[in-house]
Amino acid sequence: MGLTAYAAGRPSALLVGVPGAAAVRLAAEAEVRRLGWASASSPASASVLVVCGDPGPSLAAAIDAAWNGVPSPRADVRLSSPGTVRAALADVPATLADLPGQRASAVTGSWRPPAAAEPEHGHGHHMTGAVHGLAMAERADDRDGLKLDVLHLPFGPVLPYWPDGLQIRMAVQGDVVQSAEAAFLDPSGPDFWDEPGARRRAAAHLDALARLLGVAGWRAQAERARLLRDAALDGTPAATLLPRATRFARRVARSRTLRWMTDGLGVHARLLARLDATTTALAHLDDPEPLPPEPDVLGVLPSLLAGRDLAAARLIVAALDPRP
Amino acid sequence: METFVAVVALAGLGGALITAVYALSFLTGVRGTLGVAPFLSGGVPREHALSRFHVRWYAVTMVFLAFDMEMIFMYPWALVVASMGTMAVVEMFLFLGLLLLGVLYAWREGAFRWA
Repeated sequence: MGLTAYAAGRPSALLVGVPGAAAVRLAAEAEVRRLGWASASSPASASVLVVCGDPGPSLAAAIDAAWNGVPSPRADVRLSSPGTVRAALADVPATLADLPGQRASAVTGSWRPPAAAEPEHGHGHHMTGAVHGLAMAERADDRDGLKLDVLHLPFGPVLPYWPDGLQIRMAVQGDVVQSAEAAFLDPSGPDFWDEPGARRRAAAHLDALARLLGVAGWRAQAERARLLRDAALDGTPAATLLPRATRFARRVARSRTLRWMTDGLGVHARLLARLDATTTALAHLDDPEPLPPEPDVLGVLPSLLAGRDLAAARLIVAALDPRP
Repeated sequence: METFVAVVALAGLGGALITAVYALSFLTGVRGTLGVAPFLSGGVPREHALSRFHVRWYAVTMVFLAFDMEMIFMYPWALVVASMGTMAVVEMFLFLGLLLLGVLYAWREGAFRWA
């Protein structure tokens, strides 16, 4: 029993953000960090699913699909306000260590694709029957004029280092994106980041930088960006904040590996611009002058993703960081 | 006879251990198996992911074969090159040059264009 309690005290958590409710996600991230829990990259490696906000119907359906992939013992936490985070996460180890309860609710049985998964377009002529109830992929010309399988893959909303609530439906051949449609699932109310103020703007940039660095695989600096973001929102005086942010920006901008990885995609230029915008916003914390509005990038995203491979596509999404 | 006693004892011990592990799993495990959907970040798959390879991987296979053939012929060559002298070295490098032409051709055709 002691061993179960020990293991249940250190679960790995998968956080799902809800558009507009970034405040809840920030509180949950901070609490997960304080508790020393690991962050999971997929439902299969998670034991706690933390939903940060009140999802609308289509986001809730996606969260349910992800929840079905979390193996027992498991716990799901639904947070609706930042104030409830600490108490809700404190209950998780007890839920995970409750062996009779976990046993009774343990998931068994094989997953079957729902009937809705049938492709609705019937113009293909290479349907070679179904495998496990799923149709085979249809073929289409690729950029070299070869017939190749086309897979339709959704990216988001339950994905680490991904904008809250964003879903991009991609048609891919091999690992090359042929076309993409981007939309936010159930965007509701004013966005947390849209509130005026240089502090809020700097924090929004740091949040986006954390996502980009996380996708690029530089987890240490991603974590640093998150700590800086939380410090900016907590009202830390500019005199202590600015030197830290400048050091962080210099460190990230100087990295040759990061430049090699992201150059040629337009990602590195955007990274540098965002680092610059962050330090500028932090330098003008007490300036009452309103900042220029952020450009809307959701519309141009599909055209930028077409022709890229999936790794580049994720970097581009993280660099543009669209918002509802 | 005594050798067989040892073999039978070992087999019996192994069988007992395996049975014990299975019994432990049967007594403590949760019934049934869990089959989960592929992780599509909250989506459901529309097609089966079983798919054909891009034709460019076949070109890469051919290039691999070119390098592989070089290696296979170099093993016996390395044994006799000292006794055969200069002629063997010239012949091998002519052969390597021919194979390298194939690699260069594949390169020109874009076999190394990864993405």
